[in-house]
Amino acid sequence: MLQAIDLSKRYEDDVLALDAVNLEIKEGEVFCLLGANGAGKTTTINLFLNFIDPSGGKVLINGIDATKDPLEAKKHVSYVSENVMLYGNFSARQNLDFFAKLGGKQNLSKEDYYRHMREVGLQEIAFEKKLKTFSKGMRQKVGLTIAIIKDATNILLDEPTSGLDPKAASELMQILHQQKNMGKSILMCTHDIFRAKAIADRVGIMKEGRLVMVRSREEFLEDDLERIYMDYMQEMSLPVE
Amino acid sequence: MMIRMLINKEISGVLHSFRFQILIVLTMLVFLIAGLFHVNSYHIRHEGDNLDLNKQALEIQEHATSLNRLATLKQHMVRKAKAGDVISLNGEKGLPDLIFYNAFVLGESGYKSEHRSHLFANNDLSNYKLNQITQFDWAFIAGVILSFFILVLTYDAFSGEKQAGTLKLQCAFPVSRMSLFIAKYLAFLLIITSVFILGIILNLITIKLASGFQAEIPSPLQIGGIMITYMIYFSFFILLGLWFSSKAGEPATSLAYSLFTWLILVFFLPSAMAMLAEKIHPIPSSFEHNQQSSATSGQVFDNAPPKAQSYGPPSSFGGKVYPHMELRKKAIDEMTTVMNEFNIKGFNDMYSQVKLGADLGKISPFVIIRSISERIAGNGLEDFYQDFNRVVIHRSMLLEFIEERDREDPESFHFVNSWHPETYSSAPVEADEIPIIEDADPKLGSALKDSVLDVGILIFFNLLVLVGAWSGFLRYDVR
Repeated sequence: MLQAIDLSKRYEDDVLALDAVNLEIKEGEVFCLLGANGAGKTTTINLFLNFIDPSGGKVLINGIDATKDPLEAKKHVSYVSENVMLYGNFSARQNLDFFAKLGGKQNLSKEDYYRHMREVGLQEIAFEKKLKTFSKGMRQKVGLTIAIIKDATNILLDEPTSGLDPKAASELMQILHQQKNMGKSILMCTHDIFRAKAIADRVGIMKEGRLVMVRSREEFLEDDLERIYMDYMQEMSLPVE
Repeated sequence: MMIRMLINKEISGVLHSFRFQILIVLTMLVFLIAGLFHVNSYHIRHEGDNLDLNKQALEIQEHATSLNRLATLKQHMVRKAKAGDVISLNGEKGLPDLIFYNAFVLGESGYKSEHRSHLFANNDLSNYKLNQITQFDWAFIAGVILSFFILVLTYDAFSGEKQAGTLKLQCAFPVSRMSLFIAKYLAFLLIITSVFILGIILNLITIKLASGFQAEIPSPLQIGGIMITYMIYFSFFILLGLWFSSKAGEPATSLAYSLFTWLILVFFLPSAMAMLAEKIHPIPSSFEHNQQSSATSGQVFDNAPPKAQSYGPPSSFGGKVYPHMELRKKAIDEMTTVMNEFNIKGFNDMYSQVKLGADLGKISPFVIIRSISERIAGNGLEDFYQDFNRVVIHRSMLLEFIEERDREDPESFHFVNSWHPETYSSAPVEADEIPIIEDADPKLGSALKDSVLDVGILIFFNLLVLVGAWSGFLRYDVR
């Protein structure tokens, strides 16, 4: 379970990036955070990963305070970034091996890595190829495999479909759906309303550091999510929900 | 376990990089060429030494037939070519490795040698420069070239991973920053040390093969001492690279910082401190020294009583002792003593200036490691000082021997002096009774003992950059 409680972040240049955000993502739930650039989506993820310290409030991962005990909290979370780079001079399998061991999976075999790469739809020919020859879609798949192998109960994704072709994005959504069905809590920051509608159990809209709207799947399917999103983006200020 | 895995990844990443492959090829090439250079220089020096020393031994034998001829025989002390020269050869280039003398006079001038720095050589118009880097030895390769390579390898250790996004991903895992930092540090230390060891092995094999197994190589203890101290030196530059890498957001910025600092530490500071030493402790050139020496000793003779000056050589009195010979001997002895004291002072001044330059230069790790290398090689400042002292002692032993044997000769006039051999004994002596100059015996133990302070300073520098690098990485924004 992922929780943000009155979470705020003010940067050194005095920009208020997050303003008392409250959020809770339960097991088996996909929560999509929508918002324009600079709305605070990535800051939220960075706070969950303890890349930065909050100015106020706290983040909990399975009840563990990510600021006070970041190493313990990070055991329970996987992360897929917008642009997975990895080590270009290592093969896909070598990258998986390194990050699997970093995540505490010491005894996986070559076959285990191959199986996971097949699951995310990576072509067999690419398994032992150096990452620097991979397309962005292929790298995203390797990044997702890393997250899957870690097998944490929570997954954070920052714009995972950005730059992917529709087929690759659709495959990624299928994998996320499988992870959700396995009981994982998933927080996905995205601009992609179409993908959010396809997978989210709840969506939240962020604007100027505030979580200005949260809708359940039933609510946003009933309403027109695109219209709601555009309305929120155009309005200058709205009360926090 | 985690750190070992991180180290393996770092090592693997570095070994796979094109940058490292270029650097290792260049390093091995440099060690190979250095080996060939050393063999060439060793042969020239070694053969020259043997010729000179054999010639000197023969001359001593010949001159043993007459005590007064032996007293005025020009002898020389030469720093022999030795195994340690490959580690560091004549770093203190301003100090002489060739000194001429006889039983009366210390540091005679007027001789030339192509391969030697001759004490008070007449043609030497400039004096010592500490920063001279002209020898292609381990101290140069490791101190200058490998330190540069270290910075080229480490400058983007963090900033490069940040740019690639891999640092951020690693930090999303339950791995502490301390583990990441230590893994990088140890990986680079292992890599550079391995490169150095490989280079040394190649260098020594080259020396053995190219010299037909004639040239000596440093002892395992010397090599061990060098390895340990250079690991501390390499560690400094690794931490420096990590520091700059954690301070700069962009790899290009950290590269610029690194190279600028390298230039300051390896070239600017040693040169600047040597120049400062010359300003603080100015000394005349050898040419000027010789002029002053002649003038000062000449003045002493000029001040002697006219009877000591005006009677001329005894030959003009039919080889007999003539009136006032005692006065003349006294004047000649005083003049010789003044000249010797002037030369000893000249050497001590030269030594003090070199030492001041070396001490001031210790704000640069490069000067420190070079000093340590020189000591381990047996070419340290202290070794040059000991060489000069050996000459001082040998000269006085020779004079004592001449005077003692002269007293035993009833036919001698007993006026032992540096100008008139006919006024003292010409009796033969047994060649094997003549005092010989003791061979220099560089001791590694005392070299290491003398290096304790330098190693301490080097460790202190390590701690300084460690604090900078570690605090920089703790605050480093991995996003």
